[in-house]
Amino acid sequence: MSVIITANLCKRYGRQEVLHNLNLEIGSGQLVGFLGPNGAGKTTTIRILLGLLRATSGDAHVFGKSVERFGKQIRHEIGYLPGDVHFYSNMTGRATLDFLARCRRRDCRAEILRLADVLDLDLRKSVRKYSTGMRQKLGLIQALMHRPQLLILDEPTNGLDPLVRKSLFEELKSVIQDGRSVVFSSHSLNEVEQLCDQVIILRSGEIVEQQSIEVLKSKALRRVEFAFCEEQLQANSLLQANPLPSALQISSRSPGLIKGTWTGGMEALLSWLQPLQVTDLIVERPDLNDLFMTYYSRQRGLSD
Amino acid sequence: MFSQGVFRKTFADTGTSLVLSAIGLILFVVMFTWAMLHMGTEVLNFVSRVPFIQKIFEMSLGIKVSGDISINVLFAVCFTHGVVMLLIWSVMIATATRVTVGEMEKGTADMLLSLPLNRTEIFVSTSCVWGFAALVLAACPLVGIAVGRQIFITDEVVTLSRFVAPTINLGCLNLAVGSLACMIGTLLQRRSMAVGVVVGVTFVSVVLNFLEPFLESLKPWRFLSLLTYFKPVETVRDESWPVASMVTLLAMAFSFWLIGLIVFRRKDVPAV
Repeated sequence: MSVIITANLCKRYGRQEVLHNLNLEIGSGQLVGFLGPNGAGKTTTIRILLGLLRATSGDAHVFGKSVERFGKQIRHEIGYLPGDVHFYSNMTGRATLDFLARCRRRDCRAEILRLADVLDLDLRKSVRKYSTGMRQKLGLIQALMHRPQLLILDEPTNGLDPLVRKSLFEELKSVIQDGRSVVFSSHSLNEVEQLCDQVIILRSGEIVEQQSIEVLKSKALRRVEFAFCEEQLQANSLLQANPLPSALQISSRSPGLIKGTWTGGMEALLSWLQPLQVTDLIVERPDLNDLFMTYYSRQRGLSD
Repeated sequence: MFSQGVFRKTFADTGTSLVLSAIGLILFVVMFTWAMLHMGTEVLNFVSRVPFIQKIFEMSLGIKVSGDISINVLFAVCFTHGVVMLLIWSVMIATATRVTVGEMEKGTADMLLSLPLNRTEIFVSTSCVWGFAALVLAACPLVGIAVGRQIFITDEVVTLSRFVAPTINLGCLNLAVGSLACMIGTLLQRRSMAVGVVVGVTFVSVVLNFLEPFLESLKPWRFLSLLTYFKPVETVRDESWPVASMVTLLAMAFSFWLIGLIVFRRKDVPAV
C-alpha cells in the first residue's frame, strides 16, 4: 500500500514554478531519502503534504486521503520535524511536549520519557536555554512521541553529535521494523545511503530519479582508471583506432595511464576496452555522493 | 471548532500582559476619578473661558464644554482618554496578531499547523483569547470608576449604571479593533508590518474623528472612523444606549473576523 501518492503536483509562486508535475509514490514500511540541491522543491513537497502550502494544481494523497480535504485526519498519523525547528522560548521542553500532546489528544508521557532518555535531553530546561542540538532533539521527540504511521524529517541530524545520531538511526530502523514509514531529507548523502531503502532525487521541481539505492548505483558514474602496455601505447593512435565512448570523461591522461569517470553499465566499457591491451583496470564502486553529483552535474550541464 | 490546548497556551502567553494592563488601566481610572472629583469643575470653568482650548476639548469629547457639566459626564471622559485608548489598543493589537502572523514570523507556526487541528479550530481558539481580552479591558474603566467612587467618598453623586452602555460600546469597539488586527495579520507575512498597518488605520481613525467637526470635506468620510461609533461622553450625558453604533461595530468586527478566517484557512505558510 502506498503511504504517499502525488499526481501532477504543481506549485507556482507568481510566474516561478517550484514544482512541476510531480508524480511521487512512497510505499508503507519504507525509509525513503529525499535528495536534491537547494531550491529543488523538497521542502515545498513536504509542506504540501502537511497542508502548510496549497498546491497550485494536481493531487496529493497521504494514507489514501486527499491532503486538502482530510488534512486534520492525516496529520494525526504524521510526525513532522521541520528543517529549521522553532519552539516557544518561554516554555520548558516538557511543557512544549505536553502542549503538543494535548493538541494531539494523545497520552505520550511514557514515550516522551523513553525518547528523552534515548536522545539524552533534559526536558526540565527552558527552551530558551537549549542549544541548537538540544532543540533538534526536542523536535525529534515531538515528531516521534505519538508513534505516527508516517515520519517526515527535514534534515533530522542537524546539530546532533555522532552518538545521538547513531541512537536516532536505531530509532528510525525500529520505526521501519514496526511497518511505519519514514521520509528523510538530508544533505548528508552518507546518512541517506546508510539508512534508506529508496532515494528520490528532485531537480528543479521534478523527480529525476526514484529508485532503490542499489539500482541507482548500478546506473551511476564510476571512477575508472586504465593502464596500458608501454609499447602498445601510442596513446593518440590507440585512441584514434578506438574512439572514446561518450560515457567516458577523461580527467587526466599520462603515458600508459588514463583516469576518468564512466557513466552507465559496465558492458559497454568492457567491450570498448577489449581490443586494447589493458594491463590494469580499476573501477571504483560509486557512493551516493557520486550518484547525486551525476544528476546535479547533468543539471548544471543543461543550464550551462 | 475549538482546541482547548491552543486556547490554554495562547491564554497563558497573553495572560500576564492582560492582567498587568488591566491593573494599570484600573489604577489610571482611579487616579482620573480622583482628579475629576477634586479639579474637574475648576478645569471645565477654565476651559470654558478660553475659546481655543474649549474648541479642542469639544473636538475630543464630542460635546459642548461648559462649567455646568455633571460629574458623571466628567467621569465618562476617561473612556476616551488617550492613555486608556492607547493601552487598550496596544494590548488588542499585540494579542490579535500574536498567533496568526506572529507565529509565522517566529517559525513556530510549522509546529502548530502540522498538528491534527484544522485552521478554523486554531483561528477560533485564538480569537476567543483576544475576544476575552477585549471584554476584560472594556470593563476596566467601569471597575476603575467604581473603585474610585468607593475610595474617594464625596458629596457628588456618581451613578454606575450610567456607565454600562459606554462599557458595552467600548467592548464592541475593542472587538472591532481586535478583529481588524487579526484580519490584517492573516493578510501579511510580517507581524511588525501588520502592527504598523493596524496602528496606521487606528491613527487615521482618531485623526478623522478629531478633524471632522472642523473640516466640512471630511464629513462624508466620518463613517470610516471607528471612533464615530464610540461617543461615551454623549452616551452618559444623554443616558442613551447607542444601539446602532454597537451593532455597526459588531458588524465590522464580524466582517473583519470572517475575512481573516477565510484568508487564514487558505493561506500558504512558507518556510521561515
